[in-house]
Amino acid sequence: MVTKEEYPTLLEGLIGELRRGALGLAVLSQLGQPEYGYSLKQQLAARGMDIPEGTLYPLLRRLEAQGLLESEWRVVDEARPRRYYRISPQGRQALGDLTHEWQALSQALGGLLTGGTK
Amino acid sequence: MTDTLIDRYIHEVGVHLPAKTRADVQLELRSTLHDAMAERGLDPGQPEDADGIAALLGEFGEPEHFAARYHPERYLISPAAFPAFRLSYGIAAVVVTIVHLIGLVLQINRGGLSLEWWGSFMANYVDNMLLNFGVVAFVFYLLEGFKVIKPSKADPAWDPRKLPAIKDPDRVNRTEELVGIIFTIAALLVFNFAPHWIGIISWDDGGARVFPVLAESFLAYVPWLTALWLGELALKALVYRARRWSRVLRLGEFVLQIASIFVLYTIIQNAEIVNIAVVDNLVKFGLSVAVAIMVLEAAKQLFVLLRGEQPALSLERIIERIGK
Repeated sequence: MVTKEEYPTLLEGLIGELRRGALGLAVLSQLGQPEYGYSLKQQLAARGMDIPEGTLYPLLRRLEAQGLLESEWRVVDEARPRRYYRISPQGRQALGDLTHEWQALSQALGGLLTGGTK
Repeated sequence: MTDTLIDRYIHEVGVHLPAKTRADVQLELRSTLHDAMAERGLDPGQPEDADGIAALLGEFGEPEHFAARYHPERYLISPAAFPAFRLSYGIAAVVVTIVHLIGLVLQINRGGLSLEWWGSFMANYVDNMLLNFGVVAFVFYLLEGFKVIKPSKADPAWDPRKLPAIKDPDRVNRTEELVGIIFTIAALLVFNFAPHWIGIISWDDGGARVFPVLAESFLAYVPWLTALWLGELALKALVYRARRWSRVLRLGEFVLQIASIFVLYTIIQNAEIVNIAVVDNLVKFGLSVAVAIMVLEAAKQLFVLLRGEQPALSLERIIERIGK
């Protein structure tokens, strides 16, 4: 049993776990067009999914290492280099499968939560 | 130019990252921080923007925690323990190397450097380095397994402004070089024009008297030492002026180190340095240790030369990387 003082940390951990699985899906969904990390973060935040930098960038690397994203460095304006990420063909397939899975999970969970406890 | 808070943050993140991905992650982090600063109208060169930049870095979190998220989840040594592991292994490796170099110098003095001896020496050295790595890794594995080393928790009071300054391996310590120049000039003058000043001082009724101790056979090598010191003097003057170590200067230093090792080794083997037998043995032992340290320094210099320039985060280098 956690104390009252420990509860915020526990809740933070639980929310982190709940969100963790969904973040990959959120990122994949926004990378149909190439985006660099900072613009992606802004785009996600504007749609209600604020992901801290310390989570987003390692996630992008992980998705790339898994072959779900592709990336390249580009110098666009003011000669400032940026790393652009884009969903890969395998990422598109994963996005479709994960979206399907998410919808099923969301529906099931919705039923469980609105149905209350037995 | 002093490094900015942004430079220090990026550097500190790199300290906690594996070498393979370090430069790339640092590049992306720099690019992101610049985007964030541009959006907030912050300039790292402006002192009045320091608080805004500190707040921005605070959002990114402590460098150790930021870097930790880049590590794969399975590891033998955790990101939190990795800097301590690397330092411990480095210290142990230096100790093993010095012990072997002392053994090498003693064997040189005994004059028994056969091919078989070299083979056994190298095999023994590699064995000990591997054993050393294994023992240090195992100790850290146990320390983490038994929770003696725990992952550090994020510190809510962490202040980015307290980040340490970046150590630049090419930056010259001019005071050190200047002291070196003064001592080299002093050695040149004393050994060439007044070698009889080096000796045992005795006070009697007639005042202080110096009894010279340098042996004639050693004085015959003074021209060799003079050539070395002149070379050293020229190099130190160039280094002092350049303010930074370049590849050419490092090569010059390496050549001088090798020449010094050769001259000192020849003196130890062939000459009597001091005309008092017991003291001569002590001086030769001291010089042997100095030669061992010089071999280590030369090896380090060679490693830096062969490794070439470390990936810097300059715009030119970034563009060069993109080109590839």
